[in-house]
This record gives sequence, structure tokens and C-alpha cells, in this order.
Amino acid sequence: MKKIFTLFLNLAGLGIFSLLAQENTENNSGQITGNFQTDAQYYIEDQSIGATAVKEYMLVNSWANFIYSNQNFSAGFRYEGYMNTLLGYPNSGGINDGIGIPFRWAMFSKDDLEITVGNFYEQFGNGLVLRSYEEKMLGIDNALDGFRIKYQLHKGINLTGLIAKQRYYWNHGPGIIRGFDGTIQINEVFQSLEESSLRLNIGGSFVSKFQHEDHPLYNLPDNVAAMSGRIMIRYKNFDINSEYAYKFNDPSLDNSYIFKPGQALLINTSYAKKGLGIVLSTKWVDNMAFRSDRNASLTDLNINQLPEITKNHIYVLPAFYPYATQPNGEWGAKAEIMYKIPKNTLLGGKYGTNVSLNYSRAHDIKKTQINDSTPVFPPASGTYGYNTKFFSIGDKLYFQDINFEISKKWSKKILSNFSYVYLIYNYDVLRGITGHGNVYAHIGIVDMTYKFENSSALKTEIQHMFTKQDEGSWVLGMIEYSLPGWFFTVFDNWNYGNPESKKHYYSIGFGHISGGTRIQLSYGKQRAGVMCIGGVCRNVPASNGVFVSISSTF
Amino acid sequence: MKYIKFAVISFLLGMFATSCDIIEEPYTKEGVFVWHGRKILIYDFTGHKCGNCPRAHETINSLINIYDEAVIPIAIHCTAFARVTGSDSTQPYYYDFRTDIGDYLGGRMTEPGYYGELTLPIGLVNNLAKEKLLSHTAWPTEVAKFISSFPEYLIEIQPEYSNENDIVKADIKVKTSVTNSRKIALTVFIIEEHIINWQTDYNKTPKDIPNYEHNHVLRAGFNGAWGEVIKNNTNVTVLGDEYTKSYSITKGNDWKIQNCFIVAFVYDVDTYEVLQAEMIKVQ
Repeated sequence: MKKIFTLFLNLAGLGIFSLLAQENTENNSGQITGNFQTDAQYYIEDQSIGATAVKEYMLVNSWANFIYSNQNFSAGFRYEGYMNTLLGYPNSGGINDGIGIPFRWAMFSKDDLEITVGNFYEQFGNGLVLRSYEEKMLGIDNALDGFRIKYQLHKGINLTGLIAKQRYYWNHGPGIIRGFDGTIQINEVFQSLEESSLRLNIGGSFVSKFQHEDHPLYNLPDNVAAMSGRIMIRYKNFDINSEYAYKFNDPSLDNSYIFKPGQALLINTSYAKKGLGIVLSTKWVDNMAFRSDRNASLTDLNINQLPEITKNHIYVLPAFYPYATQPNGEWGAKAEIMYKIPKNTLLGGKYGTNVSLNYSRAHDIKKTQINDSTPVFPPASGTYGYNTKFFSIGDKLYFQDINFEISKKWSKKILSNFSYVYLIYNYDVLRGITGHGNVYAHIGIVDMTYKFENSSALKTEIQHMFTKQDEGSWVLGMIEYSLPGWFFTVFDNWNYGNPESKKHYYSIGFGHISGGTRIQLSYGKQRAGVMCIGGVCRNVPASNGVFVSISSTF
Repeated sequence: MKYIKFAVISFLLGMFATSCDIIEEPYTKEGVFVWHGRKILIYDFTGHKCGNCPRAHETINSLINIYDEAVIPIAIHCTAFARVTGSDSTQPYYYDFRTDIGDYLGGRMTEPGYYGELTLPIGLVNNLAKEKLLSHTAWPTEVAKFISSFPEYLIEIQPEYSNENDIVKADIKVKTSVTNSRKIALTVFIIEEHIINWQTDYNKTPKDIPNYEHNHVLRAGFNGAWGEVIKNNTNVTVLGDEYTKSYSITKGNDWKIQNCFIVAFVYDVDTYEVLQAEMIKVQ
């Protein structure tokens, strides 16, 4: 296995590190870890839901990570294969199809120094100016490929510097990214404050991208920089985390080539004690799309990520209408209260009852004309664009979510979860189309689980969404039976309120989990929609077919 | 160790030092033409017996070559240069290009119209005020003044033609793209391309051309020479505000409907500046 691994390292162009690995194996065997996953779908045409078949009959996304670690040294690679890419994942013109090793890296650390070469992921602060990450569910991988140095200058003072290009499917984007980040943990730096109840961290980031200016019309900047400052204050049960970011002129496809700088502010506050948690968040974003290719679009080549503050619903029906971050301008706020009604009270019962109330809202920001003849929308290419006041809030509602959840354990055998969700979803803005209007949806969910004596459990879900817009109302029923190592699921999602066609989207499947391996097989239909994680979305096409997923870690 | 520290910090600061380029106005490269969708209306007062008028037609053709769909010309036959020699179609200059609107604006025979006594060729570029009449040699300069500015309104035309009753309908939607408090009017014309007939051209020998191609010829107006006021200056119109109007006229017997286009434009009633124009084929 070690020889195979050494061979892989050589293949990955990391000959020097494979030699190092070989040398180390003679003295110390080190450790190899990894994981593997393959998702395959057999597509069946189904005109009733708009599902198409594919010429290949079956499409498969697969990948496997191999990581070698030995004392201060580690190296690894990821072998990926998309033969061909599952429908709905970013793959314009087949750009994602293929097999290869797009991710390979080596890292060593010595004393206070850590050096990475090859591919790596990185996040500065909350990601407002730099977040390189992988999210297979969305088909996103904006890994950096270059050099990174991390250095602890002093206890509590950490510095990171990097220079890299960004992964673009099987190639690199045209831009070069240079970044620096520094964090200072005040309580670590000053020994006298180590035991203080007041904890204070400050940090700052600077990221610059270079892309040769080749626009036929506009004088574009070759180098575009963004910077941010952040602070984290914790005092006993209170926590405040805030970051402000500023981006210099960055005309791009995202902002229709306007020259206005961008800004973003994120504030998260929380209070937590036993049985009670309160979270208050707000963010304000103006013209903060930041990519290593000014002409890129969709989920390609993002340098930063603007975190969402709306709730990520895990139940199917409320997840029909997820919020998508609007980097060209948005204001959002969230308030969430989680409270556990104590045990042995009227409402708490024998085990206590968890209740949570969550409210989030997002608007546009106020934009005004720069003069009497330049429109704000569509953005006036080749101009400053528009004016806006910091933290201005526009009249247009993008999204609102009010949800209430009660989780209660009735006995050792019976658990339940009841939810109500009310969503207002600006379909035109969040899906980037016109003429659809807002969707107003009321959703109720009852989730009951009964545990049997033999460690098996029966879980049932009833979800109902009432709406007069989009495709109308839905009802979903799900039964899942699980026993150690196995689970069996059947559900039907019925679009009974659709004025055109009352469609059923049913699914049946089972899975097996053993050690680090999970195998799942299902057959069913999936509606067309969008999937969002962290405010980043991809379209999901309607499909009908057999789905197989195998994952394993070692 | 201190050298390693120095090297590491230097590298990290090096990343920091790679800064950015601040671009000041003008943002557009020198000498390039950027079009943001504003279409330029040209009134070309002309006549088939005007021997210098083909020079103005050439100017329009050169402008179309440069700006393509961004230029919308309307050839308005008027004055004594538009007179006809009779109704005998075997004789030169029998065909009557004149219209009520052309007579009103440019004059009929020796009787002057709204714009007074005109010396053809002459025209208006994106402004309908009397004092804005310009020789065709000045049109390119005038077009260049407007061409890179932004349209304050966007116009959508939905045409419809019925063979049964020869009715041409036009549903017009005017959308606001720049917040303003202007008083604006909407005018809708129908024009025809590729009419082959006589034209005098002093640059040709013989000067009477029997198969001259007349383009952009004004055929009629849906709502008169000055159109209809669709918004007063007493209220502010904001981004997204829309104004819709529907008009219809009967097709003339001599029009080839397949060559006809509907032209709609909005102008500021106080300044006469044409704010946006649009053109679409009838069918």
C-alpha cells in the first residue's frame, strides 16, 4: 500500500515529497487515511414531471481522498471522476466531465511554521474577502493551488500568507490570488489577561487578485484588492463576532462592469446559558462579488463567500424555497431564541421540552442614481454605477422566514418534533427571472419517532405546505424504519395544489451502514428546484430513476 | 532562526504589499464607442425631386453602418420637392410619398409647415425643437453626442396585423429606467422600407433615377405628429414605472406590409429631446 501511495505521489507531480515519504516509511511507517464516495444515478425519462433520460443511461460522480501523515509531514491527493457529471451540477458544455487528480498537496510544519504547497482550502475570518472551500453537494470546489505559509509570530499572534491560482474544473482560473491574514488573541498575548472573563480577538485580512486587463471598452484594473477587519468579544455568556470588509473597484460580469467599490458588514451576537440560547445577526452587503475571473458567473471562481444568516431548513418542504445570497446588494437580519422548558413542569413534562423561534428577513439596499441620466437598474456599465448609504435598507423584500419548532420526548420510546414555517420568497430576485412574483407559503410539520425494544425505530413525517403561488400546495408523507446497520425509507411528495397537474414524487430506498462504510439505494422521482447551502445555490432538475450512493472512510 | 522569521514575515508582508489599481474617470477607453441601448431618432425631411437629398440618405446609411439598430431614421417627404407630376404611373414622379403628418411638419408645396420654410435636405437628430434643425453633414456629430448616453426609458412594441380588415395594431409599453420628473409624450409612426421609385440625384447622369430605393419612408402616424402625453411633470416616475398604450390604423392600399415597421418614441414635451425610440417589423 505504501508503494502504491508513493507511486500516486509521483504521478501527482510531487516526486520530492514521495521521496520524503519513502524515507520516512523506513524509520517510521506514518499513517494513511482517506475516504471514498460514489454517487450514481440511472435516469428514466418521465414527461409528466419534465425528467429527461441521458444518453449514457447512468451518470456517476466519484472521488477519493488519500492522506499520508508522518510526524510533521503530510501529503495527499484526491482522485475524481465524473463519468459523466450528474445532472444539475455545474457542467456547462461538459466542462466538469472527466477523470483525474485535480487536488494534490503536501504540508510540513516545524516549530511555529507551517508550509503548504499544492492545493489547499483557506478561509480568512468569516469569508467576506476569502473563502476557498469544497461542497460536493453543490458541485463547488474553488480550491487554491499554490503556496501557503502559516506562522505563529508570538503566542496568540498568527499570520497567514498565500499566493495561488484557483481551481476551475480541471484547469485553473486566469487570476492570481495573493492574501494575508493576521489574528491576535489578546488573552493569549498578555499573560495577565489569560484568566480574564473578557475574551478579545482581533484580526485583519488583505486579498488581492491579479488578472490581465483585456476589455475592449473599459479601463479595468489589473489588480483588485479587498480587505477586512474583524473583532470577537466574549464576556461570560455573551458573544459578539463582527467583520467589516471593503473591496476596491472591481468591474465584473457580476456588477455589470461598474466601478463602485464594495462593502460588507456582518454582526453575529449570541447569549447562551443552560437551557437558553439567543442569537441576533445582521449583515449588509453592497457589490461584494469577488472572483478570480472578472468574467466568471454562477458558482465559478468565487474568492469570497458572503455567509447567509437565514435558517437552513432540513425538512423537505421548507427547503423548497431557500434563500440565495445577493452579492450585489442585500440587508438581512435574524433573531433566534432556543429555550428548554425544564423537566418536571407542566409544559416540560418528564424530559423537558425544547422550543425555538426563528425569524429572518432580507431586503434590497437603497441605491440612487449618480446623476440625472444614468440608470441604477440595469446597472450602467462603464460608470461608477450608483450611490448608496452605508447600511441603507431598501423597500423590496427578498425573503422572510418565521418558524417555530417544538421538540419533545414523551417517553423513552416516543420522540416528536412539531414545526410551523411561514415563508415569503421573492421568486424573481432569488431565481433571477421576471414575472413570477412572491411566493407566500405556510408549512406545518409533524415528525414522530417510536423506538422499539430491539434498538430499531420507526420514524414518520407528515409535512404540508399551503401556497397559492408557484406550483401550489404540497403534502409529504414519509416512513423510515431503522435498525442497527440498516434503514428503509418510503415517501411520497404530492403536489395536489398544482392547477396544471397534480403530480406525485415518490421514493423508496434502503441503506446499510457498517463501520465507516455507507451504502444507499433508492428509486424515485425528484422535483425541479434549487438547492442552497450557505446561501450558495444550484439548480436541481426534475429526475426519475435509481440512485446509488456508496461512501467509505479508512 | 531569526533569519527564518525574517524571511517568513517578509513573504507574508509581500502578499500584503501586492495592492490594487484604483481607476479614475473616464472609465471608458479613449476612442471607443459604448452603446448602452439608447436609440437615436432622425427626422430626414426629404423629397423625391430633391437632387441633394440622396446625400442625406448616404449620411443615414453611413450612420446605420456604424451604429446599426441604434439609429432609427424616418424619411419625411415634404415641401415642393415632394410634389407629384400626375397619377399616370408610366410618368416619372407620379408616386405620392406625402402624408398628412409630413405636410404638417415639413410643409406642402410652397406652404410652410410647423418647421417653417425648409431647405432640403435638412433634419432633426433626437430633438424635435425647431431650432435644432441641422444639415445632414452635422448629423454624425449630433448622433455621437447621444449614442453613449443611457436610455431613460425602454420601449416595447407588440405589433399585430390582420389580413382580413387590413388593421395594423400596436401595443406599446414604456418602461422607466431612470428616475425623473419629465413630462413625456409617446409618438407612434409606421414607416416602409424598400420602395422603388423615382428620385432626383444631382450626382448622377442622368439625374432622374427611375429605380431608386426609398427607405424609412413615413407612411402614417398612429397618434398624430406629436403623439400623446403619457406622463406629466407633476409626478416623479421611478425605475420600473410603466405606461401602456394601444393604437391601430388601417393599412394604406399601396403599402407592402412585409416591408413596414412600427416606430415608437418618447420625448420630453418641454425640451423636445427624444429620450428613447424603438422600431419593430409589423409582421
